[in-house]
Amino acid sequence: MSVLTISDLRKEFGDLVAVDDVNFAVDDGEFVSILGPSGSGKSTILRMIAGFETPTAGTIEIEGENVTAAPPFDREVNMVFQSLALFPHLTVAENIGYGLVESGVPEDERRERIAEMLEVVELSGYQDRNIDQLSGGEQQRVALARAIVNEPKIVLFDEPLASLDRKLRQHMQFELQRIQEETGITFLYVTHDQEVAMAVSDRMLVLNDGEMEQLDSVETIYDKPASKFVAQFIGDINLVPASIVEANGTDVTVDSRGNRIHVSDAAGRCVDAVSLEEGADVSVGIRPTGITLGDPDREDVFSVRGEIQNRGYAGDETVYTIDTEYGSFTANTEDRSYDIGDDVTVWWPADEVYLFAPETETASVSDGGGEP
Amino acid sequence: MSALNTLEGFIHRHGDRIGRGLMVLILTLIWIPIGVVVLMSFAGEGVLSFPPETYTVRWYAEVLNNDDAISATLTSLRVSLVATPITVLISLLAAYGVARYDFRGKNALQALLTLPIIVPLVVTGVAMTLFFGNINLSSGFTTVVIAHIVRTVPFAALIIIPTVIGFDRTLEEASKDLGASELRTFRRVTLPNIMPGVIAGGLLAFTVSFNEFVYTYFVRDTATQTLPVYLWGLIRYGFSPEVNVISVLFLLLAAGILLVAVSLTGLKQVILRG
Amino acid sequence: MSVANRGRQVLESGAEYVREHRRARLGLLVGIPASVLVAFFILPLLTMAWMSFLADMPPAPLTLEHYIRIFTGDTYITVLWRTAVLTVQSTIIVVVLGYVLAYSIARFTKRATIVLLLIILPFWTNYIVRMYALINIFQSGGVLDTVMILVGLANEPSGIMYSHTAVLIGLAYVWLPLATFPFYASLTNMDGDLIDASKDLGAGPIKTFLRVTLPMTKNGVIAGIVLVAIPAFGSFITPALLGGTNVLMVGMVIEQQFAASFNWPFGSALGMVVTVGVVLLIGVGSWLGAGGKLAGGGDE
Repeated sequence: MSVLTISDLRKEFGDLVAVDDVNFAVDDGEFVSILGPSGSGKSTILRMIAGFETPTAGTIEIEGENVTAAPPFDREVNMVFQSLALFPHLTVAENIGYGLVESGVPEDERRERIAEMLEVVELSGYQDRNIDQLSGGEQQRVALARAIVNEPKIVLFDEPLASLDRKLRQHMQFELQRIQEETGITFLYVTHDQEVAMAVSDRMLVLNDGEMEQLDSVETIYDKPASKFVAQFIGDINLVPASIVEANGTDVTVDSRGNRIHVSDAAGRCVDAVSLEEGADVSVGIRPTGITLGDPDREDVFSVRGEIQNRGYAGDETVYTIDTEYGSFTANTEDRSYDIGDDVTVWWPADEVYLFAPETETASVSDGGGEP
Repeated sequence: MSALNTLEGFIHRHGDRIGRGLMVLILTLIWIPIGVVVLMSFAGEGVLSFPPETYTVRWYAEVLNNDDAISATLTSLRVSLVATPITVLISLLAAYGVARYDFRGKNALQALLTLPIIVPLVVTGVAMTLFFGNINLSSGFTTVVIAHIVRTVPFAALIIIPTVIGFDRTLEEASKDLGASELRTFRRVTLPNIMPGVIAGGLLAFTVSFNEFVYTYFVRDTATQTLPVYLWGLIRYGFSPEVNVISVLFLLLAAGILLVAVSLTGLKQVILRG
Repeated sequence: MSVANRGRQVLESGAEYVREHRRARLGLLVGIPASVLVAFFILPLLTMAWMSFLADMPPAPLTLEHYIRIFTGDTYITVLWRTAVLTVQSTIIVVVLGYVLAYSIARFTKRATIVLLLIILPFWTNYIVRMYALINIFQSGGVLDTVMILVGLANEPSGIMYSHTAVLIGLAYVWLPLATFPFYASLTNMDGDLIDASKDLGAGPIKTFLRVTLPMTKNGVIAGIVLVAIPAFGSFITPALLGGTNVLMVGMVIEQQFAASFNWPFGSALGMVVTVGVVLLIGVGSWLGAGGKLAGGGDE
């Protein structure tokens, strides 16, 4: 059952359309991220769900009840703020108990629930501390506890982890997942950081310029991005301009400066509305993880020569930047045998590519193409 | 409970409008008396009829031709122009000492610098009269200037001390490193950098001094009649249309000095310290 | 060697001494301001304290009779009580209006700068001028009467001059800006997310104000109260111009002892009482936590 249903949600600030007809639903107990660059409208959506902004149009329903016009204090959602917004004049216990006082929970029960909550966030015995005596990570936990203790239908997160250093952030990500599983409360997490979103959520909603680009599971969004924006925003992608030289239904042959590959079931590899007719221009995209360096060990691959410009390490993988006739390529591979300045062949198999609409300069050529 | 909830909901929806409405109302109440004074300064009938039926600039001309008013203005200017530079110098010395040195009694000095604001003006005014009488310093220009210095030092110090403390000391170290003596460093590096704060402090001191009434009232002699004392006399012993005109001139003076102060140091500084 | 030369030599060696000795430099920097204030502010207050214990103009024997007279007869107790009542009343009015004003500027106003200038400008205008502006409103046949008759609330001009109300409004009018600024400062220093957080946790605007905003701005409020109460308690111009002899405040009585009755020792004793009252006020204020915020403006 949907705990949250957003229908045709729209928010305008003067001439600016911050949120443009967004629709989505979140199931009970899900962990959903709203991901987008700054200014994409993700925080505005969150603030409308919390009740701090009134939508220009559209409805917000929580468990089937329309709360679009309800003030924030009459909604069963709680927020973890980017600034955390812990009350500095109150102790840890008073902060966590703030909402319980408002909902009329008697003192004994309040004390009990606060203690339980502190156990969940691993801060037992911190009741009487002042907020300024806590470390950044401890403050995050208190902010989380303050929201969860009210047993809201949804907990909203406005990038609260952004201020933490990488290591602490990763630790808190695991903690969030653990606590979400323990409590079974629906989490809606807003962030611009795809790494965080991919690490914590079941599903992600990708936003661009106030519009929804895609809502899917994390794997699907990475493997089958719905648009070039999503493909570029979720992980890197290398693009090569090409055109279709042979089309047989959805089996097409793509050519780029003599480099030809055969893409079967091209419709499944298409990201945007791409024309699959003969002579249509397309952009061929490949993830850095799909690239191999060295001589191809099979047929039907796309390959190009280049020179290693840069190399860096990212955990187990090495990230190479390779200068080719198509411009700069990024490749992530476990192969560490190349050095800066080496000449190398870069290749990828046909089943790793995505087909995008061509870059805008040549967009007019592909007019009138059929939808996949 | 539900009545409170209804009220909470109502305030949630309309609080900003109610707040803005009250703000406009309070501002209007603050400005109506001042507006009336400005209006009445052009009233053809003089003082006692509101609203005026005819308008004139006659009273302005009369004030400009009134020897007593002119002489009171000149006295005020003389007192303020002597007291202000001394006040600024004293504040600057204190600020430099507080900002650059650690010494016993530093807190006592800072308390001493704010104390004249706290002790009721009547009390200090009376105490000064007694004291000057005891040391046989007869009332006159000198006692008025001394009183004005005591009155204005706290205000100037309030702005100048934070300015000097806020000044980046590494600039001074750089200057000394380049071979300048302490005095030359102060002249060539420190002073130009703290100048806006010093001028703002001076302007505030001048404003307070030019408006000063209570101390002056007690320590002056009849020859030393400042403009506020003259105004006091006019109001206490019967009204005259002149009062409106002098009031408008005080208002314009305040506006002018405020604009200069704000453009020098920013509004926040003026509001939070003035 | 000429006198001028020798003089210059002495000056130069003095200057060199100051340059090379830290203590001498410090003595010059701190000593001058300190001695000016001690000589012309502290010594006068001490003189007054001494005078308050003299039976008559000096030379005279020591006595406590002035203090006994203040606290035993009805006359001065009444004046002190009235002064305290007016101080409390005007402070309450100023705190309420000033807080509303500061809150609206901090939260609901885009042009905060202009509004703040509109508040600070009257405050920088001469105190007597502001009192005169109120006289124009309050006097018989003044603006208030004209408006009241116009809307039918009164039949003939009466004015409210020389009344408790007039003095009360006068005190509130002149000190309103002074309280507004510390309120505004503490409101803008407060993180606005705290208000959202409180509402998010189920508190409406009224409860949010009582549970978060007010406690968070407590120090600003105390500072505002002390800043207003101190000059109101010692005020002399306002009751003299708006209250006359009908509404005597202690500041006026002190002035009368010096200007009219020439009973300087008694006036001194009254001055001491007022000073002690103000010091107590500040003590309570800093005990309540306003701490260093009390250093602000004041301008009667």
